[in-house]
Amino acid sequence: MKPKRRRLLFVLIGLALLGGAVALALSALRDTMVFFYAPTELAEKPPRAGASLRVGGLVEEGSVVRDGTQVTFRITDLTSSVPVTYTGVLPDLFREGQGIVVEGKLQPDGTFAATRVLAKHDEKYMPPEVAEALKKSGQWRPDVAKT
Amino acid sequence: MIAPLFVFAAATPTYGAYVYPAYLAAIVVLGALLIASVRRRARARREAQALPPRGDSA
Amino acid sequence: MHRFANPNRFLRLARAVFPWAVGATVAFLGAGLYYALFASPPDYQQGETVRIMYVHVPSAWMAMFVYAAIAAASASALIWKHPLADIFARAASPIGAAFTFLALVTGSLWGKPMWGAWWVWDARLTSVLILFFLYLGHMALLNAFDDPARGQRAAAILALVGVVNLPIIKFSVDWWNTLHQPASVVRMGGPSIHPDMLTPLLLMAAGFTAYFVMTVILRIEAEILARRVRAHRLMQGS
Repeated sequence: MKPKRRRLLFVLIGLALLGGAVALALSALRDTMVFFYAPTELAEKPPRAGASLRVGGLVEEGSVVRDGTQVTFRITDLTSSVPVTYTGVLPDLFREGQGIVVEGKLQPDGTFAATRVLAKHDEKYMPPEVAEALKKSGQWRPDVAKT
Repeated sequence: MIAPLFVFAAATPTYGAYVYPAYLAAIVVLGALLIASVRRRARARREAQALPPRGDSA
Repeated sequence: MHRFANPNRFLRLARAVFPWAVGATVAFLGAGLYYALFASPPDYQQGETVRIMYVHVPSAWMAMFVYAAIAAASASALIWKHPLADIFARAASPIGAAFTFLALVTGSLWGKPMWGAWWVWDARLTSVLILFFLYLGHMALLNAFDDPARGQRAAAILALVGVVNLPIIKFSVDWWNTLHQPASVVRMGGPSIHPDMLTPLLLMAAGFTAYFVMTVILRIEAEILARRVRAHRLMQGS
C-alpha cells in the first residue's frame, strides 16, 4: 500500500473510532448533561433531599405573587407544576407564560426555594408589530417548554 | 458612525450596557488582529526583500 | 487542490484576490452594521437587545467554520503533506480563536439582560468554551517544538481530534435541555427569523467571512515569506 493511502486510512479509522467513543460517552452522560428537569420528571423521580438542581418550564398564568422583593409563582410543563419562592431581581424576560429555568433546592414541604431565576427565550425573532398581528389572526403558537 | 452610536447609547439603557459593548468588543478584537496581521506581513516582506536574489524558485 | 498547493502559485492568486476581499469586507460590514444598529426592528420579546445577535451569531458561525477549515487542512497536511495546508492551519488558528472569543464575550453580554446570568454551564456554552481551548492548544502546540515540523504534526492531530466537538456544538441545543433556544436559521422548515432581522444577520456573516479571507491571506503571505527567510538563513548557517 502506498504511504499516502495508508495515512488516509489511518486518519479515517482514527476519526471513526474517536467519534464512536465520544458518542458512547455522551449517551452515557445523557442524564448529567441535562441542564434542567421538567416538573413532571421531578414528580416522577424526586431528587435527594437538599440536592441543588434546576427546574425548567413555563411560569403559570396568574400564579405570580409579588411581596416586596419576594416572589412566589408556579412553574409548569402543562402536566404538573411546582411552587417556587424566590427573593431577588428577576430577569427582564420574566413574565407569565414565559419559559424559565430556576436553580435552587426542593424543600421538604414540596416548594422549590430558588437561588437564581434564568429566563429562556424561544428561537423566534420578529418585530413586535408582527407578533401582535400573528396573535390577532390566531396564527400564534405559544411555545411549550421542551421536556 | 461612532457619534450617533454614543447618542444612541445615552438614549436607551440596554444600548449603553450591553449592545454597544458587544459591538465595541468586535471592533477592538477584529481590528487588533487585522493590524497585527498587516504589520506581520510588512515585516516579512521587508526581510524577504533583503535576501539576495535566488537562482531558481522552490 | 494540488495546483494551489504550490506556495508561489498561491501567492500570485492571493495577491489578485486580496483587494476584492478588502472591498467585500468593507462593503458587507458597512451595510451589516447599518442594518444591525439602525435599519432593523427591535424584537417582540427582547427589544433592542436582539441587536447583539447580529454580531454574536456570525462570530459563532465563523468560530466553527474556521475550525472545520483548519481540520480539513490538517487532514490534507497529514495525508498528502501539502506544504500550504500547514501554512493555512497556522495562519487561520488565531483568527478562529478571535471569533470564538467574540462569540463568548458577546454571548455573555446578551445572556446577562436576557437570561439573567453572564454565564451558565449549559451544553452549548461549555462546548464553545472547549472550542476556544482547542484553538489555544492548537496555537500552543504549533510553537511548542524547536522543530516546526513536529509542532505542525502535533497541532494537526489535535485539530483532527477536536473535530468531534463541532457536531456537539451544533446539536447541543437539540440533544439536551439547555438555556439556549433551538436553532433559528439552519433548521427543518426554514428559518424562524423575520426577514427584516435575517438581512443584517446574513450581511454580518458575509462581512465576517470576507474579513477572514482578507486576514488569512495576509497571514499566509507573511508565513510563506518568513519561511523563505528562515530557509535562507539555515543554508547560510550550515
